[in-house]
Amino acid sequence: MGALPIVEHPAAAAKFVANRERMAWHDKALWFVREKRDRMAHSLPEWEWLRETASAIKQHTIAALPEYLEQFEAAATRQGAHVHWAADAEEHNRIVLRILEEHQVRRVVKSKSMLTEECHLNPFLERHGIEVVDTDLGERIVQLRHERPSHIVLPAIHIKKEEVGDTFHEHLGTEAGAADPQYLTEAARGHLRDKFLAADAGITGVNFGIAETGGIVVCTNEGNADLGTSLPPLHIACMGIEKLIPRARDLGVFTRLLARSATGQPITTYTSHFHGPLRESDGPEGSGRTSGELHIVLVDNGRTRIRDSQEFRPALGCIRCGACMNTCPVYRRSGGHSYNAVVPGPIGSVLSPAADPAAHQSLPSACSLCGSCTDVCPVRIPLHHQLLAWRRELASRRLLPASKRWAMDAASQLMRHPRLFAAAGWLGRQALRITPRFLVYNRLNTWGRRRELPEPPRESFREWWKQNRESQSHD
Amino acid sequence: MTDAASTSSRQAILDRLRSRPVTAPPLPDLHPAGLVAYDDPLAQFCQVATSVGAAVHRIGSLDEIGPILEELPPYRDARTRASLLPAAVPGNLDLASVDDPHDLASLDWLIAAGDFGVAENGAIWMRTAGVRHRASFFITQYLAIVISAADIVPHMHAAYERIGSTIEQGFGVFIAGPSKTADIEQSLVLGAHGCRALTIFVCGEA
Ligand code: SF4
Repeated sequence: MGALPIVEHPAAAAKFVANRERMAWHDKALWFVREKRDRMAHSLPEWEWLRETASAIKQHTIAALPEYLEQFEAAATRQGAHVHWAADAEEHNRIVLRILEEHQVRRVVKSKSMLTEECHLNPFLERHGIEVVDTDLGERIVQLRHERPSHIVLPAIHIKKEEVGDTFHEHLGTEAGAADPQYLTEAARGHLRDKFLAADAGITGVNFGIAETGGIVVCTNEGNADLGTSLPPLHIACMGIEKLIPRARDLGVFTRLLARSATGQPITTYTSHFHGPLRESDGPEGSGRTSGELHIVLVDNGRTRIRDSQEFRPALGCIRCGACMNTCPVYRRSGGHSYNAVVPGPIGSVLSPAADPAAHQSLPSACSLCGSCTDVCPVRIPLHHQLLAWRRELASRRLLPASKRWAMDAASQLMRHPRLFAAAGWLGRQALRITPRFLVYNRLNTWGRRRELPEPPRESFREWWKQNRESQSHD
Repeated sequence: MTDAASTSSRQAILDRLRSRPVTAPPLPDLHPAGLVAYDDPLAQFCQVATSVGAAVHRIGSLDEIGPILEELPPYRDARTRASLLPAAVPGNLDLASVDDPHDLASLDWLIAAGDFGVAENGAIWMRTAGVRHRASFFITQYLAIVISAADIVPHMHAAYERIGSTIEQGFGVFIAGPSKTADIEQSLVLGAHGCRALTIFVCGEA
């Protein structure tokens, strides 16, 4: 699974949307998570202060990023970690491979990391003969099914338990037809325990890097990052350069927002703070014997480019909570895979065109501009404004498909010529009234699909105004 | 262990960032007014810890831990128990005698002391200080944590304030309830990769 093929969002969504029952089920599952998030947010009187502060901390950090990166590197090195820098995905993968090869690693356990997905690390390592096991249950499910995660927090949200049962029956030897989540999770626990015990190295992502202390913080519910980094002696942490926060006490703000926004939990089960490598009898004096190595790979891969843009810079504040997906009416009904991008949903539609505008030009239009994403984002990224800005940007770069470009050019002509506008309006109203149904509701007119068009009014607003108000306003 | 390519990428990334100076507001202060306040932080802690899947017991003295644990079938049936509070609950495995953390795979129970609890989310701050293998906390099938009723902070701001610079001393983790997953159709299952159940003993009076 290398680079993803270029597919337009509506075409990619068509398959998901065709199964109405599954679409409704998916929609409901995510709305349920959104409601849990609301309950959590409403339970804290300082919620808006937290969002505002998180946004300010992130903006500040992104502005002073070079200084904070140097501070982080120095502190992490002092703590005994090795810090590496990767300009792009390819360099990131090469660095990780080199570290693994130097330690003669054959088996790796990995906990969830969107960055390694972005870099397509798994297939790269597999090509070099290294076994990589995703240990997050949802990620393991999609890995065994040779799929991709469809959500950044809930990777298997698109898969039904019966399908998980079939996959586990095939790969883990569970009973045929068994679909009880408790039973299936237990089977995965046993299977993955063996993998943890056999691993030579653990790879994790990073939720937060602390510039002041050189520490990294990883949040999970399953405990997989902790097992994967405390059994094998080698820990490689892959981290986008935008993950930094200045001070340890800033974590107070972000740990309060992250899980509440993501899944409606008050905090993740495990919030793990790593300062330096694995040590035996870790102690306050730092007296413990070092029994492992910690490597931190700092990755740019297009992030500096996003920082250059005044418009899109706030998107670097994203803490990958997934709340914007859970609330998005388009995401909920079209599924994560329809975005054909590593990060789907509103934030994915902002970030993906920055990486490859031609491949992802359809994403900013997969949005009704309802603004719900902006309302829930814990770091207050103005997501729907950014999506609108992308449409402008892509149009000016002439990257929109011909059908959209033609329609927009026509609309712009109309808007600039009042007479033409009036005439077109009249024509439209007459046409819609007399056109037979089959001409309106067919497969060529996407606006006539799954919806009834409104009854056209007899007269336009301007006609009505002329008759009813114009004379009065002159009185 | 950085090689030439990584070093030049380091310079390239820093140069690129510096070539585009960005102005932003100063780092905000973190002393807000109007933070959530609980009339009874201890009661709040117990309630939230229970809601995230832990079993919480208020006890008057450490002597009560043993009898409560003996009531639990997974404890009675356990073969391997390690205790970091041997005066209160004896174990039958000395963690310091285990050379290889992989040998902890058969550990059934670990009884440990937590630093403090957080009222708003039921989390407990744990240091692995003094324990030979960090893995003990995550590989054990069942985990029991003992904290003092006096050691409850209201929220995460107070938690990090309290941790202060000790955060730099190696590894530390907030644990809130037993390990869990909802990755199969959003059905909550306790016992993902870490402990299957978490028992919390809150000792003494607030
Ligand atoms: S953009 Fe905001 S809401 Fe969406 S994943 Fe990132 S932090 Fe969460």
